[in-house]
Amino acid sequence: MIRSAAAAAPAGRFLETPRGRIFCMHSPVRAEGCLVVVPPFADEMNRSRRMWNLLAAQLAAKGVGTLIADLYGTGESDGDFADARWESWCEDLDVVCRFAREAGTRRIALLGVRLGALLALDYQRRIAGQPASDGGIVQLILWQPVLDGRQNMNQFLRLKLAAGLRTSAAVKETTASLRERLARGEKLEVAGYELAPELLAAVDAIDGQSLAPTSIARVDWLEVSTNEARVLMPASQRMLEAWRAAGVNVHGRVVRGEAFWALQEITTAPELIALTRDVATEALAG
Amino acid sequence: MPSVQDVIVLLKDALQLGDRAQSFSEVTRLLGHVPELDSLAVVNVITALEERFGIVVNDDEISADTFETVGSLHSFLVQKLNA
Repeated sequence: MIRSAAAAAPAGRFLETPRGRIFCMHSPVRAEGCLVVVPPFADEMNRSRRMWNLLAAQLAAKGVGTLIADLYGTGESDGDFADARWESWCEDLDVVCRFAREAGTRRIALLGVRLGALLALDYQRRIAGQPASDGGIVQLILWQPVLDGRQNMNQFLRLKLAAGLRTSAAVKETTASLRERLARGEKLEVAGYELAPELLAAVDAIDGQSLAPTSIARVDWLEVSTNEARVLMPASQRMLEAWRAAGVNVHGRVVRGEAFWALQEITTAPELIALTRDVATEALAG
Repeated sequence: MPSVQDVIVLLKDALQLGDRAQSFSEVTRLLGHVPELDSLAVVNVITALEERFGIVVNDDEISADTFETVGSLHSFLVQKLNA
């Protein structure tokens, strides 16, 4: 019993990537099915961490593994945020999935959180042409997915404008003027993160419409709401309909919960964790 | 079209107002009256509006007038959706 408890406890290790090491938590060490967490952008990652740590513990009890990697330039991984690139994040995901396969995983699900949903979608499309042997991605779970990269980057840039809203300065910054400053090669720090123009350009260029996951067996699109009516957001409903029209097997569900990724206080949504545990266990347990 | 109540729910969630939002109505004053609504919270409310209703808010549309009352914020949303 002591041995199995030790095997189920989360363990951290560094994985080698072409640019440096990325830090990865995994639990339990051996599992036939594994969930790979694809984290959201900047501070949303810190605010969501407790959510996937709780999820990992619940999945471990069901014999399902969880891999949580800090993408290059974030968290405990090598590199500064200014060095982070979308391309290298896709490669990081590949390194994590390969590590899972080498540890004996036969079925992988990606859990894309917020902007991580677009990263997971982009990654699965890049590998869609590869033969689906053991260890393929069988499921995509999306938590409150970001649908439009450019709009998401404008929302991020606005954090820098927030300070200016307090004063009625004569020259007002806008997201457009911030983008111009970046394009001129100026260093730009937003909410404590130095944003590389290359990363901004890459995120600008992606959206959920062009990344419909046509080669994934099952997609679970999960949202939280505190409203009594448990319906997907109107923008999400439109995207789901477009995906279904493209032949995607996507299931949308809404459970009670707060916007944990956006709130200053660390907040959890237990119903979202429970639902994710159940849909992931169904697809991944042996 | 979203109702005034939809806007109140959005504010309640984004600002973590809890039960206090129950007393909100169309005439409730926001900016300068709801302490949670600082400049960063304004940005968060705009993000929530964009994501929930699929609108795009331009920087020059973000003004103190928009955030004066629940009703002015609701009118802004309706006008964006009709645009």
